[in-house]
This record gives sequence, structure tokens and C-alpha cells, in this order.
Amino acid sequence: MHHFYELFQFVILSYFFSLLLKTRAQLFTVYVGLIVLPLFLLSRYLINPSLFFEYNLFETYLTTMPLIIYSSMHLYNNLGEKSDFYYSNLGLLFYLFTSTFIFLFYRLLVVFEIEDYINDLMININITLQYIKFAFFFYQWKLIYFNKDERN
Amino acid sequence: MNAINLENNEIIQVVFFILLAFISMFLVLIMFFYFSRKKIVQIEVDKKNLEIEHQKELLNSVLITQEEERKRIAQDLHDDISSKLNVVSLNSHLLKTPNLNETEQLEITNNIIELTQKALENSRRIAHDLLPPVLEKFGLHAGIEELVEEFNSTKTVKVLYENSIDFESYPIEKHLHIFRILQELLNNSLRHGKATEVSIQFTTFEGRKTCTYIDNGLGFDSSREENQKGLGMMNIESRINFLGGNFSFTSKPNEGVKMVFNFN
Repeated sequence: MHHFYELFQFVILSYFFSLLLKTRAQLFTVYVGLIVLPLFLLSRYLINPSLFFEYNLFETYLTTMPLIIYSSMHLYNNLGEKSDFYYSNLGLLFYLFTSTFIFLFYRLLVVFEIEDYINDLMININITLQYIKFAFFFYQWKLIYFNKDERN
Repeated sequence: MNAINLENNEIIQVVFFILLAFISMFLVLIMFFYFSRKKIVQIEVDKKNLEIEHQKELLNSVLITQEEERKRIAQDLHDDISSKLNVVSLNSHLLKTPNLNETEQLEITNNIIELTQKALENSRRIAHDLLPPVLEKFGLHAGIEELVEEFNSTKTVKVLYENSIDFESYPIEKHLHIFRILQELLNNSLRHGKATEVSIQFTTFEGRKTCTYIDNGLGFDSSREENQKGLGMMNIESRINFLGGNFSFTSKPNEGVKMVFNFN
């Protein structure tokens, strides 16, 4: 299931950033990523269907890293001026950074077969991170909703 | 044996991806800081350039005003004094003509006296326009009072003047700047704004001497760029800069003009 989750997250957020980013080079990167990455992943599973049934770190890495790059691009674009979706971008960047490591470390624990002790902890940390992300989103929503003419 | 190998492989794979993630995120961070720094420096440079451009414009306007002032003085001297002295000299030559009877002589001398008096009066007026003597003798307060009186005596405008600042301890060379600013504002209100009521107020606000100038004239859209670049406004700005003060200028069509400036 997580294959779909990751791909879905990637496509939706790529689309989101394709609306935010401005320069041609940045938009080009986003569009190319949006087309090439899903095709690449799909072809991987077509060639070797067994991959589909195991946890795949390469996929996690490939689907989150571009988002982190887009997010940094958006931060860079709006340096020193008012930025659209500034807080949600920060929240997103924070979540992408931390969750990627959570997933990777979780995988490490699974390999070392000690996940039973720490499993709950990892899940709790992930949930907390999600809450923090949504706190950022909520703050952004509040800003947009209450200052319609002055987006932050 | 095979199972152990497989497990080892997996561990290596996981560690590899963790490392990869660390390194690439670190790279993204580094690149972000590198480009950000560049951009911030560029923004600062642009800002400074804008400031320099503005200073240049101010300097330019000062030079233009100086030239215009010279032109005006030259014109005044030519029209009001030279022409009269010319006639005086002609009349003096007439006196030399032989066989003049008494009445003719009297007429010519009277003419000369009258013309010299006019020339004298004009030269006094020109000097007064250039630097009102009251400003130097009695200070800014008296100078502004006289200015206001002059405007009030035209009956087209009613100027209210209130002052709660003691200007006596204030450096004398700065009096002229404030005086000129008010002169320019009043002239603008009358000439362009067709104002009928003007209020000038000097108060101390938050420890700084502040002047509030309000008129009820036609006003204009002060948010538009081309309205901020007038020669008069530029001169006012450079004078306020010289006084080490700040100013805010607001005006809307048909709502008059409001200018607040402070100085040290």
C-alpha cells in the first residue's frame, strides 16, 4: 500500500509546487520529475514484480528527495519578500525531512530485528510529526482565511 | 550461510540509503544557503543602488533650483532695477542740455528722485524675498508669523499658525530650511491647490520637534509615482534630510494635503 501512498504524495505535492514555483528551469524540473519518476517506478515493477511486495527504500528516497528540493526552491524564490504558503511550505519541509529519516531508521530496526521494542515509539513520533505539520497548515489556513487580501 | 549473506546485504542497503539521504539533504541545505546568500547580497546591492539613484535625483533637483533661482534674480534685477536706473541715467543726461528753464529742470529732478526711490524699493523687495531680514533678526517664530501674515493679507487664504516649540536655542542656520519648506508648501497650496484654509502646527511629539501642515485644497493622488518627483517636493525632501528628519506626505484628490515632518 505504501507504494501508492508515496506516489500519490509525490504527484499531489509536485502539482502543488508546479503552481507555486516561478522560473522556467524550476518548472521544467518539476514537470520532468512528474513524468519521469512514476514511469521509472512503474517500469521497475513491470520488469521485476517481486519488488512490489517488499518495503522499498529506493522508492521512498526517490519520491521524497525531489519534494525537499522543490520546497527549498520555493523558500529560495521568496527570500526577502512576502511568500505564498510560506508556513505550509515550512511545515511540509520539516515533515519531509524528519519522516524520511523515520522511515529509513524504522527499516534499519526491522533489519536488525528489534522493531518490536521501538515500533510503537516510531509510530508515535511519526504521528507527532504529522501533528506538527498540520499545525503549520492550520496556521497557514488561518492566515489565508482571515487576511484574504494579504497572503503571507 | 546464504541467509546471513542476504541479511548482511539488506543491512548494507539500508545503511547506504540512510547515508545517501543524509548526504543529499545536507547538499540541498548547503546549496540553499549558498544561493540564498548570493540572493540576499544582490537584494542589498539593489537597495543601495536605488538609494544612490534617489540621492542623485535630489542633488540634481538642488542644482536645477539653484539655476532657476539665479534666473529669477537676474530677471528681477533686469526688470525692476536696471530698467529704472537706465531711465535715471537718461534723465541725468537731459539735465546737461543747455538752455533748460526752471520748470523743466524741476520736472527732470523730480523724475529722477521718483525713479531712484522706486529702484531702491525694488532692490529692498528683492533682498527681502531672498532672505527675509526678520528671520535673521528675530528668529524663525517671527519669520513664520510674518510669512503667515503676508499670506493672510491676500484675503484668498486663511492661515492658522500655532507653535509650542522654543526656537531660540535652535541653530540659526536651520531656521531658514524650515522657513523655506513652509514657504514652498504655502505657495503650492495657494498656486496648485487653491486652498482657502491652511493650518501649521509645531509641537514636540515623542521627543522630536514636529511640524504638521494641513490644507483644504484640491489635493492630488500622492501614491502615484510622477506626483512625488516634482521639483518643489524634491527640494522639501532634501531640506528635511538636511535637518535629519523624516516626513510623511499624504494627499488625495479633493481632500487637501497633509504633511508631517520632524527634525532634530
